[in-house]
Formats: sequence, C-alpha cells, structure tokens
Amino acid sequence: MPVFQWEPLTRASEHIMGAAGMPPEAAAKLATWLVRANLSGHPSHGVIRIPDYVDRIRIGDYLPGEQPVVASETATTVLLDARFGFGHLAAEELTRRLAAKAKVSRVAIGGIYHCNHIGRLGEWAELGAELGVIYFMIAGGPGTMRAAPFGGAEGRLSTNPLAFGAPAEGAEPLIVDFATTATAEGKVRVAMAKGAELPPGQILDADGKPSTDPEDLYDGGVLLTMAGHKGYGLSLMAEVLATNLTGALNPELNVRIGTFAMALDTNAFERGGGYDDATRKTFDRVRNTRPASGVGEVLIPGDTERQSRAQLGESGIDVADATWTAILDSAEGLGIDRDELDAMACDECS
Amino acid sequence: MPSFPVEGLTEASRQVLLAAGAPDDIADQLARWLANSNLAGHPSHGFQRIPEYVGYVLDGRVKPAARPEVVSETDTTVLINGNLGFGHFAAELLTRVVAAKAKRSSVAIGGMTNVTHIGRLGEWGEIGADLGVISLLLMGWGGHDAVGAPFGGAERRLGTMPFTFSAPAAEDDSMLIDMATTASAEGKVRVYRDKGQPVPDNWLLDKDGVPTNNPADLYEGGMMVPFGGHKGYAIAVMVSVLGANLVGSAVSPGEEPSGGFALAIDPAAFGDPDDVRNGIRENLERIRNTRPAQGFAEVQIPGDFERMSRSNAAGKPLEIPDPTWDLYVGSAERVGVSAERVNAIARGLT
Repeated sequence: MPVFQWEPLTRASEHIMGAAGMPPEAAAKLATWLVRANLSGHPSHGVIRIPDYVDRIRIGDYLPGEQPVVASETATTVLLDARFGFGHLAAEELTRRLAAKAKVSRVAIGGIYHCNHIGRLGEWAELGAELGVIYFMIAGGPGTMRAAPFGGAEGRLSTNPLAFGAPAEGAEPLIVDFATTATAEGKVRVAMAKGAELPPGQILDADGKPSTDPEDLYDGGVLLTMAGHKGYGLSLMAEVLATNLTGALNPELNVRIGTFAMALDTNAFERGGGYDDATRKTFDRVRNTRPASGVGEVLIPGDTERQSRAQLGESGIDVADATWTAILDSAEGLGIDRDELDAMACDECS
Repeated sequence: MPSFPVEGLTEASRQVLLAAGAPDDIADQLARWLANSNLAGHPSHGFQRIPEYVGYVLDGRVKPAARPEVVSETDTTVLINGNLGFGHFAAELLTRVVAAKAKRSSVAIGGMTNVTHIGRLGEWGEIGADLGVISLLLMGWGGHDAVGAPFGGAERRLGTMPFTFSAPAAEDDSMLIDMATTASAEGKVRVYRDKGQPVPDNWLLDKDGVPTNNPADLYEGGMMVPFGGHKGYAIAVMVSVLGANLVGSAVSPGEEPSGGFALAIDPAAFGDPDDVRNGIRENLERIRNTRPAQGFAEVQIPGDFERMSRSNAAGKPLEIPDPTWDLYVGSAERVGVSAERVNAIARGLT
C-alpha cells in the first residue's frame, strides 16, 4: 500500500482535476479538501473520489468550470445556484457568506441548489467554527434512497448527513459530522468483501426482516436509519430543510438533493465572553468523564479528526493499492503519464 | 385502575394549581397543556406531573404567579426571562415571538432562562407548526441531576437534552419530532424495572460503566447512554451548546434554573411558501407510502403517533394507575384541596 505525504498528494490531485477541466484555483481547493478528508481519517471522502469525479465530468453530470452564483439574498438569507459545478465550491461560498451575515444579523440561513456532491460536511463545520460562528449544515433528498424510513421495507431516504460546528475562544471547536443512516453503504460493501457479518440494526433483507448478512442489502434489502425512529426523524429533518425549504428538487433536471445551512453569532444574545467561557467548561466537563471499560479517554466530537490530522500529517496517508491504481487509470484517461503522476505524488514518499 | 373524564381531570388540575397559588389564567392554561399531553399519548408529561409541580411550588423552585418577560430583542433575536414561573409559559412565549420575528426576518432565534420544567416539548413544536413556521426548540439542562454518560464515558455528565423540530405542510399535515438525546426516557426504564423486565441492549451502563440490561442498575449509580452511540452524543453536546452556553443558562447538571433555545424559519425564506408546504406534504406522503417492514402495520411520520392518539382518545375516559392517582390526591391535599373534593371534581361530579 503506497503512503503519501499530504503535500505531494495534494499537488497530484490538483494536477488531475486541472486536466479534467477545473480552473486552477478551483482544482487547488478541491485537492486540498479531498486530501484533508484523508488526513482527518475519512478516506471515504478523500482522493478515492477522484475517479468518480472524473467520470462524472466526462458524462456531463459535473460541469468543472462552473462557479456558484448567488441566486437571491437578504440580510438573513442567501440562496446559491451551484450550476452543477463542484458542490464543494458552493458549500465553501455558502459557509463564508452565512458567517459574514450572522455577524451582522446574528443569525442567517442559506441553501444550495443544482448542487453536486459537497464532500465531507465536517469541512464546512470546521470552516464555520474557524470563522467564529456556530454553524449547522444538513444535506439530502431522494437521491440514492438506500435507507428505509423507520418501520418501512423500501429505500426512500438517502444518507442525509448533518454537521455542526461550535467554536470556543481558547479551545478546539466541537465538530459534529455524521450520516443519519445506521451505517454507510460502503461499509456494508467492505463487510461483504471480507465475508463478515454486520452488527444487528444496520440492514433489512428484501422481505423487510432484520439481517446481518451484507449480501442481503444487494439482494433487494435496505439500510436502516441510525438508532431507529430517532435517526429517522433527523433524516426527515434533512429532507424538509435541504430540499423542500430550499426548493432544490428539480424533477425536470433530475435534481434530487439539496443543502441547507445556518450560522449563529456566538454573541447573538450579547453575553460578551459568556458563551466562550461556558462552552470551554462544557467541553472540559465532558472530556474529563471517567472512561468506560475498554475506552482510553472520552473525546468530544471533532477530537478524532484533529488527532488523525496530527498523526497522518507526520506519518503520511495510506492509500489502498486498488484506489491508487484507479486514480492512475483515471489520470491516464485524461492524458497524464502514469509514471509522471506517481513521481509527483510520491516525491517525498516515506 | 380508576378512570376519569378528561374534562374532570383538567378541572381538578386547575383547582389544585389555583390552590397552589397560580392565577386563574395560568392554572387554566397549564391544566389544558397537561391534558394535551395525555391526549397526545404522552401521559409521562400529563396529569401525573401535578405532584411534581406542587412540590416545586412548595419548595420554592417555581413561583406559581410569575410570568415570563422579554429581556432584550432585535429583529432576529429575543431573550426571555422565565422569572422562575412555570416554564411552559416561557416556552410558549418564546415559540410565538420567534415565529413572529421569522415571518418578518425569514429566520429568528431566541433564548429563555430561569425556567424549570417546560412540559412536553412537542406542544411547542405543534404551536410552531400551527403558526406556519419550521421550528426547533431545545432544553439546555432539564434542571435534574445528570443521567447521561458521554459516549465512551462511565460517569453521569449529561442531561436528557431533549429537542423538538416541526415543519408545517399543506393539507393540515405536519411533521413533529420530540425526543430526548438519551437512548430512552428515564420513565421507560422505570416501567421496565417495575415490570421486572430487562431493558433492551444499548440503553444503560451500570455504575462501573459496563453495559447492562438490568433496569435497577440505573438507580444504583448507573447511567443512560446517548441514542445511536457517538451520533446521539454529538447531538447532546450540540443541544447543550445552544440551550445553555449560547443563551446563558445553567451549564452544569443539577445547577438550576435551566434554559433553552428556539429557532423559527419562515417557509417563504427562499421562495414560494405554498411550493414549500406542498413539497413537504408530498415528501411526507412519499414516506408514509413505503411498504412496511416485518412487524409493522404502516410507516408513520413523526407526529402521526400524537395525531392518532388524540383522535383515539377523543371522548374516552382516561385511566390513571392507582399509585399515580394516590400521589396526585396526596399533592392536592398538600395545598388544601381535600381528597374527597379532588375525586369528585375529577369524576365530573361537581
């Protein structure tokens, strides 16, 4: 398995996305975000996506040269048209605009339509927190629809993920980022490849019966929402906010997903430094909990990603052979020489 | 088990609250909210709270005649002081003010401080939906001792951290989430204990932080775990940041009084509100029409349970378990309403 340092891996990713038609600045940003997902310990949203993105550009789903534009805005709202460019660019733009608006209006909400994949949601929660606002983002709609509503046996919901970031002066921020399904489809695929059983509560078979056999998912089964009816409720919240409220659904253009976000000023209720003090205390109180048996320490959401970035920033990023081969194949399809790319990504390889 | 007409129990509760020192309008409205909880299928937040509320008044935690007031406001924010009255009134005022502001500013947020129990959160979600806004309301700390462990922890450091989210839809439809971020409500554990049955997996840890199915362990130093493991834990921390730290209410379990946060969004924020309401309605119907899984008769939307409970309960007497009724009568006597009188009123004999 090749191990890459993050900087050359970023340069190589940028090179591919540029060759695929993205303007230089956009390609550089996308590459940074992809590699940051790897660094954060979420390879599912990292460079593994490159071959898929390149394919989608080729078939015309993604328009690599497009930038998001503001469709409408007020003092408290902004709606972006992503113009079928990379959703990441729209998500970044939305986060920056909402943070600026929230600092003036105390709260601001926004949405994105004509939007492709926006990458790792935690990236935007981290950006919001870095910009000094409490930030919430939720995405979804009837896109892949592999998940059943609670009590149902048919796929009607997508992974419908949400993210939340809360900064505190003098502390690392709280960063929440999860799918409202019990597991990711990709993890079921991994279990099937290994011939492993799934934990209970993740899938139903084609007859709507609980199953732990990963093959059942691909034989007409469905994913379950996390924690039963509670995760189902969150998934519906994603539907309402991300698609219905923003008006993102467009059946004529086969657009079935959308994004909603909100930023809050940490001083919305004029508490001076009161919010920061209280939030630091909350984080400390929770972190200082005695760990349960078998657990090293109690973390707050966001700690795992920070630890991963510190570690992989030093040790380099493992990329599975199959993933790297697929990336090289994809690059070759764009006219990039395999060896040249390999050298570019690997010039500081450990 | 004694049974009573709802009107009788409402009147009896009104009389007890009056005797406890609540003014006419407060006693009348609070009694009706208690009735609403029973009718909505949530007796845990209904008439059986009377002994607790009488206790709060007698030990000075609640001032029965106190009314909430707006402390500060802007176009997009409001901060309400509950003045240690019945928290329900602060929650209702917060819901209404935030909804009105959202209709002018597209979105609004609010906080409340100096409240104790605020009743069934779904009541405020239902009012938000009736007022035509998408709304969220959550409680920072329940004012009780902590019962929840952080994910991976073996100490009580979190409250139940409940929230409600609602969205109005066309044709008088709506969705309504009302849930605690612990895996279960404490009251349900009590029910298992009293029946001598084990609780489901992933609800409880014993005092040593070891998973247990024995409900009695909760009352011997054990603790509840968040719903959905690390995901529900993340929501619990998010709820405490918004409901306590941002608005400036108690930041620790057991610390009193409590506080909460609310958000309202105008369905017209990004476009035609009729399209939004119709879109939500279509979405809810699409989900309801899912083929049911094994063991389920139908797929419901959050909020359907409460609607069905109300229509089933209409015109029928309510059964109250003997021990619950004994406590109720005892609390009436504590404020000078005789057992004979409270029984007669509750049975509709006066």
